[in-house]
Amino acid sequence: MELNSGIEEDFRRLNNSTFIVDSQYEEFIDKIFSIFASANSNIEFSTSFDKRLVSSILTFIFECVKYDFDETSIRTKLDDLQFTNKIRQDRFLNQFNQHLSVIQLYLKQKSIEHDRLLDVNWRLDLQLKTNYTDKLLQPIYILDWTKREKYTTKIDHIQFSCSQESLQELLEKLKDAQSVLHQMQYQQQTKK
Amino acid sequence: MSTTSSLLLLADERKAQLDLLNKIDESAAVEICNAASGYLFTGLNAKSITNAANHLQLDVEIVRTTIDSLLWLYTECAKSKIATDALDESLKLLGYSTPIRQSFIECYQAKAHQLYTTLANDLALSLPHYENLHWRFDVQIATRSMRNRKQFEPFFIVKLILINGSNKKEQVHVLQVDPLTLVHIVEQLELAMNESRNNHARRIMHTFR
Repeated sequence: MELNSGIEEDFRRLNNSTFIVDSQYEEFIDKIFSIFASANSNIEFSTSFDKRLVSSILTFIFECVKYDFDETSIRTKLDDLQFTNKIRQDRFLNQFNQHLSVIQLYLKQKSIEHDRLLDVNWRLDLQLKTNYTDKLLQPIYILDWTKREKYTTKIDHIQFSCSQESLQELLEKLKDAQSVLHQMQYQQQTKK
Repeated sequence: MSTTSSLLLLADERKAQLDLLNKIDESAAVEICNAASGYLFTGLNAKSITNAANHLQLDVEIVRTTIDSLLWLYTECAKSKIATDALDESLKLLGYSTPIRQSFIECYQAKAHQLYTTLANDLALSLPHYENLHWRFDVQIATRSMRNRKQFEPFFIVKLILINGSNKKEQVHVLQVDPLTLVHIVEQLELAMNESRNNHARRIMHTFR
């Protein structure tokens, strides 16, 4: 992982007991990690700790999660950054492990998205007449697919009609797709 | 016009408009029937009507109204899916002679199926109609923000193609589906499929037949 000189400087400062005493450090680190604990991510920091310090630590945290570093690797990394205070490292790692799964979820969401299919609703109608035809006796399915648009939480609907034969075809294709899952399951079992 | 007795009953106005066919020469009437069926899918052509009128030595306006009414008659027959004998009976009642009836029925039968399909499908009020579905199974291994060596996220990408009945335009939707969601959807659609085969649906179909 490549970290710029600003971040290295910030960690050196963080290690320095004259710049920040133990109790202040603990409070600071807890506050940073609490961003991931609560739904509200607007946490105020007092002006004695500048925003740059916060962003450096956050960058470091994200990079560790991104590359999936284990505890020893993180400690090595911190030593490289001259953040050698063992007690402070412990505090950091403690919080880190506590919030690891949440940070992982958060990063996983930041990917390229497509619209997501959530649910399907259906209705079977019998068409009897229109204003252009009499004596129509046509069963028809109306399908309503619920989707969530990419990068938003907006829900939208796709409505369309299809005949019995089309529905059969659609069902066959989706069952085909489903069989891939069965194959995967089977392969995993045979490997064991 | 009603077909409750499965015979055509025309309003007086229409009868008057079609009256021309009785007044003129039989071969001319047959020609007009043929011409009218030609216009069914192309629309009325003012120039050719004028030509036909001059050729038959009749007033242009009257010829145009007659052809208009004939077109309307063809459409109504297609709409009600009237049987050939019933049609023949009705025309007899209206007082048309045999050759005219025959030519009308011939022209009608030639175009009946196409006419009905257009009425039922192209002009009908409908939602976009299912056309095709493509799918793909992918696994996400890494992203810019996650390079975890253990990352393995399976998902399906589905491309749904719909056709809008009125303007024949294609709508394409690309969607991502989780494996569990797919299983749920297949379940639901199977239930939907079975609904049309059960007793309730069969009974209703039978009642209306």
